[in-house]
Amino acid sequence: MDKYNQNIDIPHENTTKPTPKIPTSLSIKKTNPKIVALIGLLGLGLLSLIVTFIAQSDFPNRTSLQSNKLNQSSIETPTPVGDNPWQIELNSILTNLTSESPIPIISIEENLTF
Amino acid sequence: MIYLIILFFLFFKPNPLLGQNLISQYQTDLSYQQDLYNQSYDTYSQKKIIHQQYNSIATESELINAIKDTIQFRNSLLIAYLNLITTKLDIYKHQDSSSVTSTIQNILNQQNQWLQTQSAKISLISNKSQIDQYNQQFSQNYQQIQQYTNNAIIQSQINYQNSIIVQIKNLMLKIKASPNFDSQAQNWILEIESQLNLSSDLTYQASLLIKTDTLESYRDYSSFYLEAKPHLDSSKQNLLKVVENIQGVIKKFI
Repeated sequence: MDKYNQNIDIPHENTTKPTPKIPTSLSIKKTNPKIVALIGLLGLGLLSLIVTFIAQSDFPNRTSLQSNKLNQSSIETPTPVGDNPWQIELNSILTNLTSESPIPIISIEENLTF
Repeated sequence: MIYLIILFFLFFKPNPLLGQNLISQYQTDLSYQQDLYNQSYDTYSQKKIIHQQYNSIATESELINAIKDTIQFRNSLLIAYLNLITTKLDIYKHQDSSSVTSTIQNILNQQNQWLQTQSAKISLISNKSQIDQYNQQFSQNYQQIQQYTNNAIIQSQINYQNSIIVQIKNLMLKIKASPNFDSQAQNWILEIESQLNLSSDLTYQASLLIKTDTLESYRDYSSFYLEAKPHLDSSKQNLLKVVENIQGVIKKFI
């Protein structure tokens, strides 16, 4: 036991190493939590704006419109669209003719009396 | 920098509201405003019954507020309606060689502005006599609004059908130029052309029913679109037959 103890006899005072001194230029400054919160809020605001921006763009509408148009043309023009450009032009005219929705008529009460 | 980015996202939207997109937006707005108006009108009707029953200062005050709300929603509904109509007229406006479409749009824009100015005045109404005064003024303007919305409905369909007629005429010119175009095809095309002229005549008859003058004798502007509708419907049915006949020509001769 003593033999082993002799071999591993490390002086205890030497185990605690002195902490290296960080140069003042590299030391991390203590950040103000208010500034962190402000930056976080701005970031969130920007993110929500981007989300709104994407949601307002008509990409999904455009694709759904296109698919609607395709569906409409396939329903309204039963004849297959051949290679003939006149047939294609005629089908386009037919689609225009059948897809137009007139201006609706609204009715209101003119005299709001007692 | 962040503020600049925020400003960019606020003011520069990627989709310019043009044409069909704008129309579908106005249509959505119109149905939304229609719902609001219907709700406020129902409330007004209920308050009117209650006031007629109890006739107190409290019920009168509630009725005045209900009328003011209904007037406000009615104005918003009409503004949405005029926005939709004037934008719809823009689509086939180029088919109108006369100035009728522009005249209709100008009048409707003026009425739109008038309605907007009135919306600001409604909050100042506080008693029965002011409501009566407002009703009188509204009736005068509404007569012109009715007249020109009817005109617009007719004119927009005329312009649209005329654009179809032009498209068909252009296609027929191309067909006529085909090397396979023989005398039999010529007879078919002549028949189709006379059918097409019938549609032109019908839209012309509908155009005669547009009333841009203020006629003292003509008091009811609420339904004169219904007088033009049979002509426009016949013309559209006729155009469908024309398209069917051209399809026959293309299949047989080309």
